[in-house]
Parts: sequence; C-alpha cells; structure tokens
Amino acid sequence: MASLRNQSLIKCEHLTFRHEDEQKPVFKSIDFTLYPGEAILLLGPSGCGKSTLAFCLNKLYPEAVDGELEGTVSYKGKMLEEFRPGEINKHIGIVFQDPESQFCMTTVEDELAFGLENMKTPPEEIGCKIDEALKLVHLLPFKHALIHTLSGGQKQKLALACVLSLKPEILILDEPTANLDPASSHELTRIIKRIKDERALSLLIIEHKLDDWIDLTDRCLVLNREGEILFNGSHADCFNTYAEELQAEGIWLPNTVKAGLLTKKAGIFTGKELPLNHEEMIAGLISPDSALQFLDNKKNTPTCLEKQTILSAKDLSFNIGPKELLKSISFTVKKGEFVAISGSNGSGKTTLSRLLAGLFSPSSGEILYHDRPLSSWKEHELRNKLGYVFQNPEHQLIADTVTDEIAFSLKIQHMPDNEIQKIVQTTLKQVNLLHHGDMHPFSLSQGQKRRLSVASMLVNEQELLLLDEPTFGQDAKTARELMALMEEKIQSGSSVVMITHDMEILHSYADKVIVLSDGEKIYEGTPAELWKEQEIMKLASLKVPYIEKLKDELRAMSRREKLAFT
Amino acid sequence: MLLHDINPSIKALTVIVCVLILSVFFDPVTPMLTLAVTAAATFIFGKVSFKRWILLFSPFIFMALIYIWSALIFSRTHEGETILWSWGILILTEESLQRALSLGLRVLSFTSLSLLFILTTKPSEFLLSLMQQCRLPPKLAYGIMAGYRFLPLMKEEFEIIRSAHRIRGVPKARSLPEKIAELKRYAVPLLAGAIRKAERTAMAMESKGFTGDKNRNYYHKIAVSPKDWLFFAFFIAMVLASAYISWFFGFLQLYNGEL
Repeated sequence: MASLRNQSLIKCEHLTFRHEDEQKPVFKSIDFTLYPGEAILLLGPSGCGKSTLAFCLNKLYPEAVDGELEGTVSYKGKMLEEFRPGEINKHIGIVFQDPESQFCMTTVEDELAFGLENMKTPPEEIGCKIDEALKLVHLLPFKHALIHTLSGGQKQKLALACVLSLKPEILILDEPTANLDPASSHELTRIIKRIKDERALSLLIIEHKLDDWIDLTDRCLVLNREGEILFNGSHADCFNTYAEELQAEGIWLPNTVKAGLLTKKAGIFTGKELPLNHEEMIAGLISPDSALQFLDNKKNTPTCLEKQTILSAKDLSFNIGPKELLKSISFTVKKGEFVAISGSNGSGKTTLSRLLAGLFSPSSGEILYHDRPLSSWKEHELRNKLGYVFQNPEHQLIADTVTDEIAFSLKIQHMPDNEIQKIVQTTLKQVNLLHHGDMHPFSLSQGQKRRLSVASMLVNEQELLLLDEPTFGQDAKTARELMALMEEKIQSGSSVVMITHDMEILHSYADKVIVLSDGEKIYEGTPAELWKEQEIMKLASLKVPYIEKLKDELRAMSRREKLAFT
Repeated sequence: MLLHDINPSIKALTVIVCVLILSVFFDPVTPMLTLAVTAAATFIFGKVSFKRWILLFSPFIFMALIYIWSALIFSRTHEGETILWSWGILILTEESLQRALSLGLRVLSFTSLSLLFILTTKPSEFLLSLMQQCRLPPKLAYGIMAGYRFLPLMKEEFEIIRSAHRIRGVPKARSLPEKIAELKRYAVPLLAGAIRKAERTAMAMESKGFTGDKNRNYYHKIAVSPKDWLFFAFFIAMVLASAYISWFFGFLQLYNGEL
C-alpha cells in the first residue's frame, strides 16, 4: 500500500492561501501527502481553490500573484522555499486547462525545446528528447507543425509532451480535458494511464468529469465550497459515504456511481458498495430484467410538439476564403423543441450557431426565422426575439453591475424605469442572484456568471435561445441549474438550440440531435436512434451515455439468460 | 545561397548601416541604384514573389509620390536656379525637381532595404539571434515571442466582444462620437482578457522552468559565419558604388539640410 511508504514526495501542512485584498482564504488548513507512484484525484465544486492549490504545490503561487501563503509545502522533505527559481519545475510538472494560453513558441518543436533549454539540457541531447516525448503522446508527425493549427486535443497532448520531456516525478493535471470533446478526452486519459504505468509517475489530477480517471487514480481528496478538506481516502469510501453530499456540493459523480445511487434507491441494486466500474454495477443488480424495466421507465416520454416551425435553415454554406467551414446544411426547429447540435472539436458547431444567430451571414443558403429571412429582420427586433449565450460567460457580460447587466437591453429599448425595475427583480429572482445585484459581474463565481449570462438573454422573453456549449467546465450544480432554466424556457413554449458535447444532456433533454462532422450534417434525429449509429458516433467523436451502455449490456444478458433456460 | 540563411542580426545591422550611409547623400541616383539592386536581390536570393513584394511596397510608392508632389509645389526657389516650367506662382526649377526625386527615392530605397529584411527573416529566428549574438535578455525576447502568438487571438477576442454587444441589442455605431464610445466599451474587456491570457502564459512559462537566466543553451544555434560578413560587405560596397557612380556622372551631393 502506498501509505506504508514513509518517504513522502509532497507533504502539505496547514496550507492556507489568501488573495491580498480578501478576508476569506481561497483554501484553508490543507494537510495531505502524496507518496511515490501514487495518483490522487482532487475534487471540489468550481471556485473552491483546486487550481490555486495546484499552483502553490508547484511554487507558481504565491510568486505570480499578490497573495499570502501560510503553512508549509515540502518536496522530498525539503521546503519549497529552499529551491532555486525554476528548480522545482523539473520535478513537478503541470498541464493547464486552457489549451490556448500555455505555449509561448510558434512551432511544436520549439515549444518542447524551450522547456529543455530552461533545464540546461545539452543542445545535442535535445533533439532526441523531443522525439521521445512526441512519440509518447503520438504527436511525432506534427513535430514541425505550427501550434495554432493543432486541434484542442492535440494541443493538450503537446502540453503533456512538454512536461514529460522534462522527466518530472510528479505530474499535476489541472482539468486537462475540460475543453475537449468526449473522444479526445478519453484518448488523453488513456495516454496518461499508459505513461503512468511505464514511468511510475505520481499524479495529482483535478477534474470535473471523473469517469475516465477512476481506474487510474488510487484515492481522492475532496474540497468543499469553503476550501477545506471534506474527505481524503479511497474512492470506494468517498462515494459510499459522501455520494449525496458530493452531489449537493456540485461535484460530478462518476456515471456508475450515479446509476448505482439511482438503482439503489429503487431497491434493485443490492451491492454492498456503490459501483466504481461497469463490472461492479452489473454484479450489484438483482436481475437484468428488473433493472431494464426500471431504466426504461425512467426515460422521458417525448414531448408533444406543436407543428409550427419557428426556424428553418436551408442549404447553409459558409466559407472563409477557400476553406469550407459549413457545407449545405438544412434543418428546422419547431416551437417548444429542444435541439442539440453535437460533433467533434472544430466540426463547425460554433460557426453554425453564429450563423443562426445572425452574427455571420451565410455564403449561400438562407435562414428563415418566423418565416422571414434572417437578413430582412431589423437588428433590434431580432435581438428581442432571439437570444444567444456564449460558451464563455464572461463574453456575455458587458455592464458594470449585475442589475445593469439585466437592465442593459431594456434600457436600449427605452423602457420606463419602473418597468425595468420590475423585470430585473423577477429575472434576478428566477436565477437566484437577487442578493448580488450591486456586484460587478466579473466578481461572481463561475456558476453565478453562467446564470447571469443566461439571465441576460431571458429578459426579453426571446422565443428562441441559442447556447454555445453552456455547460463546458462547469460543476454539476451549475449545469443542473442551467438545465432547469432551459426546461422552464421550453415549458413556456420557447425553443432551445444547444451546442453540447455532453452526452448525458443529449440523452435526457434533447428532442432532436444534429451531428456535424467537418462542416457537414451527418445525422439528424432522436438521441435514442443516434446511439445505434456506431459509424456516426465514431466519426463525430461521441460516446454513448453510460445508462444506454448499461441498458445494452443488460439486454444482452437477459437474452443470454433466456437462452440458457430454454 | 538564400537570404533566409543569413544571420538575422547581421542582416539587420547591414540594413541599418546602409540606411545610415544613404542618408548622408542627397541625390536621386544613389538611392535609385540601391533600390534596384536591393529589389533584385530580394527577388533572386530571397525567392520573394513580385506580387507579395509590390503589395507591401505600393503604399510607400504612394507616400513617395506625395513627397515628390509637395516638394515640387512648395519648394523654396533660390536665385540662379534653372527654371523648367512656371505657371502663375508655381515655379518648377531643375534643382527642386532633383530635390523632390531625391527625397522620394530615398524613402523607396529605405523601404526596399526594410522589406528585404522583413520578407526573408522569421521573427522567432531574429529573436533567437538577438539573444545569441546581441545579448538581448531572454526575459524580453521570450516575452515578445509569446506576445506575438497573441495577436491572432486578440483579433478573435475582438470579434467575440463585438458579437456580444450586437446580441444585447446595442445599435451599430454610425457617427464618430458613437464609434469612439464603442471603442471605449470594447477596450476594457479586450485588455482584461489580454492581461488574463498574459498571466496564464507567464505561469505556463514559469512552470516549464523559465527563469530568465542569461546562461542558456540553445537548441537552435544561430551562428555567424564568414558568408554573413560577406553579405554585409557586399551591401555596403553596393551602396558606396552607387554613390560613386552618382559622383562619376556629377549628381552626387551631400545632405545639407535641404527641405
């Protein structure tokens, strides 16, 4: 067992960090130890100080910010302060969340060379070390590529290669898959697992979506909203004891645990502990048939749709220069419909949403909104009827206070002040931000910003809401709240078009799914039908949601059982 | 041999010295000859297409024409100058025509030298060379390199902010004061975004062990070889030869505060 080894790699004692002008510490009294060869999963709701903690372990903080660090961090028994600048980075590497802002050179080769040069590697060894690192992450063919031409997944693999080339003993991963599509993030986790096994690395992984990480980590460390340690121990203990508490804190549960929790409540899961993997899940169920019955019942009945078409796209194409970003796409959105658009990174989803919002004009083809071409709408009329929510909530926010943010578009319409007041109050109540009215939008938490950005698009009672990956990088609680808002919107007869990678959302909310690949529409239909189209799923880097996978397995089992009886 | 292979620092030095020499003389022939040779070198040894070159060069032609025009129209005429043409108060003398041409061609020759450098040098190699040959502090050089990567991102960010405003129903700015107000509204989020990105990149650099230490071993060694000095010598000689030819035909004049 790891805990039997007495030589610790990293040891934190009473670690507390506070930003300069703030009373409240980001995290407080953190004590934990990382042993050689161990992998820890660090969990917590967004804004609880996970990233800050990671930066403190790597000595990036408190130097990079104005802040105060109390307590001690030691590496192999030596205090971090005793290391010369840059020295600790050889031992502790880190991969950041944002693929865009972690490089400083233009080509793949130069970026790798940069780190190796910093470590004073003899120049004649650098070449083969670069090749070796690139081979590890399958990026060797891209050695001379320009970094900005790589996809998000490739950039994260490059970031990993850069760190690995320095041969660190500890690797910190700060939400490395937050910006990736399901298939790319799965690939990244498998690469990390292989490297961990080959090199006996110690890992500290910060993640929201846990499924791919459970099998490669040994234990988990959970922070609560206040930045204190809630739990430190094995996964099994963690999820068995705290599953519901974690859910309340807004931490995503692994899908198996979630399914286990659900079936346990229904009395058809009798395993002693909540399942951490697929095998345990199957083993714990009373019988495949009863489980199937239960899970099938859970499925939402399709909502009765009105016939009225609210938006229709006809033969949409969009080119930039010779590059065809979208090729002849047609579909319709009905009143009260929830349409999801999915596809791999860079397949043209965001471009399509911008076209639908009238932000870009199509190179050819036409969009009809309420039977009128989008181009013939007056700008302010259109904005009152059609809302658009950006992927990054900060992009949406342009006023100085939360109240002004909501009132912004109403003021433009020259609405009387008392009416504005009324609408602002109801909207703020709806998104649970009533007590934050005077705050600056950017000082809100991640989840609050998300709600505010959506709220700004609710005030005009827009009949169609377009959302560009609104649940990306959000914790479970925020995502839940957001989806509740969307359901309300649908109930009131509006339509929602949402770009998403989240297969669980497709599964439980979407009436219709449109799948894009390389700018072409390769699927349009119900989610249930989509899960059967294996070719399309693979092409678009999608993954079947866990419940569906489980149901498939159960069906196969029950068939086998029946065969065995006869 | 290609101009791309010349050491960037020496290339920059060559351009600077040529410009300095050229600015000593003030006659049309010296810069014209320099311009011709430099442009030819850019095409032949720089493998730069004429189309690309002229695209960058043409704004300067326009500028040179304006210079020539204003130097012709508004020049001081001195006693004893040969009058070529006069119309009302406008008098064109041979001397003022020569001055005007000298000025215009001077601008163009400087441009051609700069283009020779810009079109045949990779920014990253120039920075590496500045660090290795001219002892530019790595902190500054890598900072510039990281900033260089931001430019396209800034453009993207600008587009997004503009869309965000449109989405919220902000009417299009039409008059000048509206446009200025719009720019102000964009500036704050744009700068805030840039600062956040810069901070993140700085952390990423530090996490890779970058300390700004001047004792670096470089993977890409940018060396100085005799051919670089040959290049330097050739260009200096070329400019001096131009001046000599100009002198030989009696055009050469030293710059003496004309205009």
